[in-house]
Amino acid sequence: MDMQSHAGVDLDLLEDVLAQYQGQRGALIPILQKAQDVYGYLPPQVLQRIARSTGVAVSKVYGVATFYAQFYLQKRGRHILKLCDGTACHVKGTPVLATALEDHFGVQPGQTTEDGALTVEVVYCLGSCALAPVAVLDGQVMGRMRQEMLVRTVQKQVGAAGGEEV
Amino acid sequence: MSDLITITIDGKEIPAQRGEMLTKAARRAGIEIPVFCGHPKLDPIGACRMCLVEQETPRGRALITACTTPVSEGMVIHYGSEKAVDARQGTLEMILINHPLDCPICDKGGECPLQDHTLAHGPGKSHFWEEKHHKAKNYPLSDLILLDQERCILCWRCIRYLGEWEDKPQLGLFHRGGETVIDKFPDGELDAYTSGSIIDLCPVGALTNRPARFSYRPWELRKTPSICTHCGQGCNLRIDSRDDIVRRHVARENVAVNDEWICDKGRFADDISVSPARLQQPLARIAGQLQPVSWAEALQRVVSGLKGVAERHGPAAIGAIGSAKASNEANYLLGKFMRGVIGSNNLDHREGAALLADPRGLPSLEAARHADLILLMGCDPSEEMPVLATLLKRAAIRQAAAVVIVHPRRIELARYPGHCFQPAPGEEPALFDALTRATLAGRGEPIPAWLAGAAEDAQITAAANALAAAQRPFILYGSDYAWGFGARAIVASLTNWVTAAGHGDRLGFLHAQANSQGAGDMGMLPDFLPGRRPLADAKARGDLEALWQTELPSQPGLTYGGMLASARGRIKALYLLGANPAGEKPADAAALKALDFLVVQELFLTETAQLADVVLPAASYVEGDGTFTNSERRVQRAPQAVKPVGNAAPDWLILTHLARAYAPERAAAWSTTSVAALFAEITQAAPLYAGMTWENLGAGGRQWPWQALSLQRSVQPYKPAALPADPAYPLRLVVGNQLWDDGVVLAASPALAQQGIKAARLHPTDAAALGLHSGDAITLRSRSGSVRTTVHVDDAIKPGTVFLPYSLAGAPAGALFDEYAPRSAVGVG
Ligand code: SF4
Ligand code: SF4
Ligand code: FES
Ligand code: FES
Repeated sequence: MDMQSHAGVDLDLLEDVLAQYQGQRGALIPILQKAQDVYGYLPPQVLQRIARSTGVAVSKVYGVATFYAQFYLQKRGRHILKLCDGTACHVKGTPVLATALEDHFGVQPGQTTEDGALTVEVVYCLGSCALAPVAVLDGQVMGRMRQEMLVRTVQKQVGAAGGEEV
Repeated sequence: MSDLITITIDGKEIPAQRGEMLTKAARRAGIEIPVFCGHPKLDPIGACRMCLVEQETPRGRALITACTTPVSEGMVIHYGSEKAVDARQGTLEMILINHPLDCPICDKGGECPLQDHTLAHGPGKSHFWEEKHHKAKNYPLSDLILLDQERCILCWRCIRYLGEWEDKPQLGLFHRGGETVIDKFPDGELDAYTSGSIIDLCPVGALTNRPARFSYRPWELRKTPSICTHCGQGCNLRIDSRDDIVRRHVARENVAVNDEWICDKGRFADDISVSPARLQQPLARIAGQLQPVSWAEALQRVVSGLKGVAERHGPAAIGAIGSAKASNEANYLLGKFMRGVIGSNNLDHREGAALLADPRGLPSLEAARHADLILLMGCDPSEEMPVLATLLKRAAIRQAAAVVIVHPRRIELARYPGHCFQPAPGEEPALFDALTRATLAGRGEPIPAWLAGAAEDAQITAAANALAAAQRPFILYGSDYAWGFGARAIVASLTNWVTAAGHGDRLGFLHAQANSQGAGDMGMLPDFLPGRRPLADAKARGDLEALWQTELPSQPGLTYGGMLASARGRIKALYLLGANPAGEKPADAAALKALDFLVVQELFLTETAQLADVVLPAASYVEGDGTFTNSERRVQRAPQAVKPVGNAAPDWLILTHLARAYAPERAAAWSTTSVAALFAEITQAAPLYAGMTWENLGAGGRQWPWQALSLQRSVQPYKPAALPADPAYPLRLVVGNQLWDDGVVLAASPALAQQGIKAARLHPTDAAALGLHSGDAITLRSRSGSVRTTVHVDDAIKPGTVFLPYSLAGAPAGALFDEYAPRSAVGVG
């Protein structure tokens, strides 16, 4: 992991979370969740601080953080686009959507644009196969996606709220 | 309820111990249930499913993991049933799905349980044709260990070892499913001193020995059961060689000594036989220069040099210095030569007469495992005896043994609950007096007047009570408190405390060198004969005279320090075997130059050898047979594993030839032709070794009993020694051993030269006051001299002291030693 890009993490923001669970055993997962709420992801310094405070070895904390898909170890964009690549969506054209995103925004699935505006993630089946191909932008589900429509929606969303935190 | 029960495996009744794991009971009955994650030294976890068997239950047969199932009376197991066989095949097939199958280039190939289990239990072919997952290969976990994540079968052994034994859980399992990998935390360390144990434990070729990699195929190795000679623990290991080159060391089990572990120095510092710096040829000073000569000429020069001095100045002008790193045989014969042939008792070694060690070392290493309290005074097992430190950690965790430490540094083991005292140099006796007083008070015993003034506080009372209440304390003191100015007072006062607490017979000494115990046992001392018999004992002298067919001088000789101090005076010739005073103390180099004649028997052309008139190249311990006696008086064999380099010869052979050349009329007393025969002679000369033979030392060695020498201990007043302050030199020197030193052995190992922090250490407050940061160059000065080194800021250091490890390249602590050494006053600047 590249420590440089995590420099300047303000660990003070974590104190409330740690204080809340002080002395509680088995609270690692809720602590990680709250910490992720604070930072948007789990930088290594945060994992180390959590390890020190809970007395759980940092190798264990990291093991838990990497095990669950809900935890992010890399900084994420201000907008999150989830692209479904489950069987139904794949057949209905997710690869084409992914290419369009790459052409317009320069990001492949799993990456974040350089300005930190957009992260594209792949998921496998959102349970809405009837609407395939499905994409989810900042929590909003969009079915029967076509490339132009997807690019336009994303441009609008990123452009509109580009500078703000979500 | 009897502990012996009966279980049934495949219709056969077998006896078992109640509660033992099914794998173990089966193995005893000859049924080898395959395991990967299961390991006798690690807690069972049942992670790999390799050991599946069927068990009869009231609800029919169920698949269970044998490695996590304790046996119980009447248990019925099916190992060879179709379902069990199928299950194990399935497990192996699963494991092999993503395995890279690069066995031809894997160091483990040929000694790999995965290969063996696949042969015995696996399917002949795979159903799997998809692309395999790819993960990191040749990924360095440290400078010493490589990880191949593709070969890893996720058995957790490495993770468990580091957690359960080292208490350094630095490896973990990350990600999930087919992506799961073993790794460190990003940018994390893998720095446990026994980290290499995970290479031995890994059942596949996922963890490999980085320096040794690709230098052998396991089946071509010649395997010699031996020991480690890097410290006084004497861990058992195996030396694997090919083409007369040592390829690797692996741990060998000896539960009494090292369990099944060796430290990273013992494992990786194995290059001594291939070092280009080794001496290969005798050298003699001809026209002012050291030049290669034949053995015959070298020995002739030694004979005439020593004879000349003996004739001109008498035998008392000749002295010899042996070595706590050399074998019993080397030290014994050097003593026999000096006393029996030359006629001088000037005989000692660096850790000899000046070191206030218990002549019996420590009671028993195994006792560390059962301790309910650990008391360490002036020693640091992590740096001086790392495998012992591992055993102590285990006792601290598993048995909640309190750890009480008295040391100028906050040593690693201070991380366990207990008490850590850091008295400043010079203040130790006052602390021990207070502990003694608190102990006597706690036991309701009278307090002698000389102790009445000792000041107590709550921590002192608590520590005193803890020791007095302990049932099985493991108690050690070490060299940091046992030599130099004030050491008598420290050792007397700490002995008082331990004695007052009722544990006088458990007080042991941690010998930092491999054969400190043996060198003393062999009589490498000015006033003791072999077997720790006093020189003054006429009967002992008589016995030895009969055995050696000679007359022995009865005047005690000079000590190590005494010989060097007299090198400009009445000592005219010295014979040094494995000793390097010139490298340790510049003043001693000057003294050696003043001698008429200097012989050095060595592995390397050390600072001292460079001054010699004759240099005799010695074989290292892997190049000849020998015995060593560890800190718990265990005499162990180190048989020859490879040929000596060049023309180097084993110490015992050099000394035998020398004695015969020096005194042909005594040749009959110098006629042994093997180490086995020589060892037989030693057991006659040293009654403590009676009953031992080269053969019966066997694979695990034999101890002479702690009770063989009894020491009467009682609480006694002692002579205090005041350490005067010196305003010109405001800091106090603290010296000590560190595992990764700059000594010749590690310098010979390219892989190890970079390990550890090679610097003087200061507490942050002192560093800040001096405006120093880690990595800065500094000069340390005392009234006697100065050294230049770098500084490392470390809050484990006692404020007001500077810690200087021994054998830092270019910064010998001895340069700073004055009459208060090693507790000399020093300044920075
Ligand atoms: S690296 Fe070796 S010991 Fe560690 S989990 Fe993998 S296979 Fe087991
Ligand atoms: S603890 Fe000592 S004897 Fe054991 S392997 Fe390490 S250096 Fe060698
Ligand atoms: S495959 Fe995309 S929603 Fe099911
Ligand atoms: S050996 Fe039994 S589950 Fe791994």
